[in-house]
Amino acid sequence: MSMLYNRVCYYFWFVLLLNINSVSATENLHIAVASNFKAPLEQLLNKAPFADEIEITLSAGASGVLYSQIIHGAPFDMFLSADAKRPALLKQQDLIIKESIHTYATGVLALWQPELNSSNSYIAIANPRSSPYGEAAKYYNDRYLKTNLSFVLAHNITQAFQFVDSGNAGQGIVALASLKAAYQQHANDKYLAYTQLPYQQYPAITQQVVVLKSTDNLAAANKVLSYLLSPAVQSEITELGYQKACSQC
Amino acid sequence: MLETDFTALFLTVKLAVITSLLLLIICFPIAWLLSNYRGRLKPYFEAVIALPLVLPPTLLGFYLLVAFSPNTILGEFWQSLTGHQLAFSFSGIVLGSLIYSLPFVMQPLLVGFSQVNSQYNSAAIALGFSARKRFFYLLIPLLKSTILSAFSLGFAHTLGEFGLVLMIGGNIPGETQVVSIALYDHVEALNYQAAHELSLILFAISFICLVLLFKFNRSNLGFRGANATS
Repeated sequence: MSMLYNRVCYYFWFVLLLNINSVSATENLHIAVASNFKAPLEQLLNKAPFADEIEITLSAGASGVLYSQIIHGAPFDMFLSADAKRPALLKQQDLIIKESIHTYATGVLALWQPELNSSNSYIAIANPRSSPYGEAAKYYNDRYLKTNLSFVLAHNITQAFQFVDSGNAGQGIVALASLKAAYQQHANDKYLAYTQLPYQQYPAITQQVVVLKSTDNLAAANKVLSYLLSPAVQSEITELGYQKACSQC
Repeated sequence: MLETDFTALFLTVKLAVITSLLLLIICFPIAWLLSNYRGRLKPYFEAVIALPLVLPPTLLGFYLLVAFSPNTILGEFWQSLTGHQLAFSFSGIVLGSLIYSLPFVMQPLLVGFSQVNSQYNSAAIALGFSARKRFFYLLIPLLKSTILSAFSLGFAHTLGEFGLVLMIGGNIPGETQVVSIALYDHVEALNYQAAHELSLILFAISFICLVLLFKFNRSNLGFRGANATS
């Protein structure tokens, strides 16, 4: 009988300690991030000074999908959108912390054609209806490029890259960041066969971050936010293939 | 409703009809052979057929995209045969759907064949029917409801196809922009009104399709019931 008592006691203390432990250990932060910035964000967060204090969960997805999840009550603390439109809509609906909208990165477009004399008649861009990269690409094409190839629309800028990378589309207007990441990984010269499009010739692709009003971890969210916007991190983001964020220009 | 939505709806139905018809033609002899086959490799064949059921469509789509590239054997062969490339074309998504919906057409046929093979066939053989006669006067009439449910399962499953077309389609209206893609587009573009309308129509079509399916299955069950009492 006393053995059973001991065991129950032991179990009781065990559970109690477990609970205390989880309360005192780390803060949790759930970040929704546009798929095209997931890899850079992971990379940046891993070497952040608060990497041990804040436990961060990332949910990557298309900005539009994440946006619909947020307005229907998804438990995110922060949202890194691939555009400025959705953060603005969230602000309109009073779902974000005041003054928490910031531009964390500005996308750069590149015209990529891995094989110069390809007979392929397709050019891949992201869908202009939903992706700011696609919108900018279309704008650029309508005014400057005026290609006579047929367009294939990718559901995001990463897929546009994939279409060209797999050889199914002969060229594409893709994100400079995708090309740089691919070159970093595979060191293949085909990822260098691009021309960067001049910033003035397409609308700026501002990717903005917001802190959501429903958050219980405001302190942790602010830490991450100021880390992302710090000059050191911003210059790192630039090196990954983005323009400098405009507060720093 | 937008005009592009009508195009997408029409395209989806066309894709589903072509896919399920082609699958019936392909699966019929294979199911016949497999249901007669008693060898050791049977589980392996069955596993291969069931694989598309398990593999995520995004995985299938990604490898199809790689395989469709004009730099590969398949891509090159198709290009020299037709002059077009497979990715971003209607033929491409038909090919993808064939793989994706294969188990849904094959499964009912396999079940149907094994039932027919068991009793009626031996009776017909005992009565001295030739193989050809057995095929046309026994197999086809007995399998009518099975074929119909195989067709409608394939049809229904292709209607709801999304991940695969997303990967290999390229979102071209009238060519590869099926309803599920058009819906995703509307949601992504925050055009919820259009998304609701299109969903409603897709919902109605799928519902009717499934009602028909279960109607056919009912007669199929009746057939099985008669089989059990005999």
